[in-house]
Amino acid sequence: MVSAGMRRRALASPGKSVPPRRPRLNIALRTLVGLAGGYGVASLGGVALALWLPLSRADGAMAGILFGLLLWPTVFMAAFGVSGIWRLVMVVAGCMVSFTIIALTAGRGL
Amino acid sequence: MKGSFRVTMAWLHSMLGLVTGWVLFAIALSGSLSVFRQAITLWMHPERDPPRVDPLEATSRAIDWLAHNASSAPAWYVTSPTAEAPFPTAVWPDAQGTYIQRILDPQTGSPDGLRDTLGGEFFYRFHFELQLPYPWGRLIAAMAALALVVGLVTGIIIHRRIFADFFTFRPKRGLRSWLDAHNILGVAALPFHLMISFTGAVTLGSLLLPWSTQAVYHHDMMASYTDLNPALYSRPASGQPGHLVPIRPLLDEADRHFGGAGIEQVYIFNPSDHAALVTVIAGNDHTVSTTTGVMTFDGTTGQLINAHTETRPVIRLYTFLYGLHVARFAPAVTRWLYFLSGLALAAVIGSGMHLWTLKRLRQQPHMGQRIVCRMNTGILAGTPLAFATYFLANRLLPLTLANRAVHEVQTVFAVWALGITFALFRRPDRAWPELLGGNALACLAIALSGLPWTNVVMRGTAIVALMLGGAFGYAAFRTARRA
Repeated sequence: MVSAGMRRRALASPGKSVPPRRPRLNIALRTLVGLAGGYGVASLGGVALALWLPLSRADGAMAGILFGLLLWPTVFMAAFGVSGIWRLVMVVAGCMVSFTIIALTAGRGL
Repeated sequence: MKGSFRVTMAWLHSMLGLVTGWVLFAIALSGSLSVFRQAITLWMHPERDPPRVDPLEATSRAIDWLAHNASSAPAWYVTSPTAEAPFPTAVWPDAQGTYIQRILDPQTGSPDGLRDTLGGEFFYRFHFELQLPYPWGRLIAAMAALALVVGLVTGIIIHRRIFADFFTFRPKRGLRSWLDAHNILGVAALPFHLMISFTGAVTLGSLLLPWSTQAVYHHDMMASYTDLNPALYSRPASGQPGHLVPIRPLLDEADRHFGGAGIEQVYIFNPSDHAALVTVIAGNDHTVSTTTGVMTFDGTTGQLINAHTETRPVIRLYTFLYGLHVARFAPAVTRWLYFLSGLALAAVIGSGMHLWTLKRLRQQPHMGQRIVCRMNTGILAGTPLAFATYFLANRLLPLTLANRAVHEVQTVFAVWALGITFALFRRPDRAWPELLGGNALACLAIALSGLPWTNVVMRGTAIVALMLGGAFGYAAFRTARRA
């Protein structure tokens, strides 16, 4: 019981785990991927969904916005959660390429 | 791996709070006040307790007044009275193109005798525009909303024992008590917090992520606006003078067409021109969604030009999410829950910021941490003080002052700047009780300036102000004793 309490305290107090032993460059890169890469994935994902959905134009555009709003926070969290930085960059770039292919080949077309 | 993931998320949670906490606290607090923005507007017009007048009748009287007093304006935007706001509001551009906003007497349709104030609209606009020029304020607010989504989700990941934490509060144990309070407040209204942060981002989504719209409409943004609201028809002025038809029959026809949703707004374009247009937007009675229907009439013949009822599935989802956020549908009980959950959100953000500094001040804090600590004091205690002085400025500024509404708003930012400056240069253990005490006095003054508490708005405001004042007073007492 005591040990469970101790462990929980360590995990449940943000900031106590500082320093996270991450070099500054690593954090800067992850922030960049989370913000810029996340925005790119959100934008391209939104465009791909909007062009792919067999709905009215207004519906498609709106679905793209809503999808993008879900994607950006997800990618941002993943940018700090995925362990290897190169794996992270590959995954984010892979998402962007896939969404671009879907957008280019979608029924409505760019 | 699982453990280290949680440690990473904990780090992200605190860093994100550090970067976005200040702006999120101000947004959460002004948003909570916006829930009662109509009531605040009523409180700020003590000279007239508006009688309950049929909304359609009050709207057509407001338009009659505009026809006599603002006939040269290119457009009038009139908001109909509702149960919460028993008065019409009009917005129109003056000769210089500056937008004038006035609440109008529901019986005479005129703003005469009503003091010049933005009322609760100030908190509403500040909540998503932060008093910054378009589009910067809105972009910052949209990013802050998404940051809050991430903050909440990472907060959930850090906590495995959400249910148990809900029943855990260990008082008088410093850091531990603050963490317990942070957890309880966060967990208690968690579904609301998740909903309000995401739907907040949704309301500004088209500004933040315009690319899907650009792609679908091939960069023809005009087409996208027309398509989003097909009945919001527009046309240029013809240059020939025209006479507006009597407005009441058009409002009646629209009201019947909207099937019980009521009327939210009436836009009149080129009111003195032959090409005048009257656009009526459906209200929020019996529907969560906003803008479920729109009708546009020819202003000189009264003939229906276009009517649109929203049936497209994703647009319906959007108007539903939008409606959930702005809560125009909400009856009184729901409004109080929105208000309390919003205050709880502000408290979660505030306690999180405070935890961050408490933790670092226990060790040897460096310069940056000391500044953050003092800024936290300034923001957490200075923001409610600035908002409270807005209420007092409404009562204290002379009624005949030119640009009175502008000066009321300037008071807010002057007090805010003073509060933050004070906190930056004063020892935190002194600044806390002094600023909190100032808040308590300001809240007491708000309650007293509603005297005699003749109507439900004055009584409700007094009760909330006294309770908040009591809480601030208690906090000031506690922090003073520790100092």
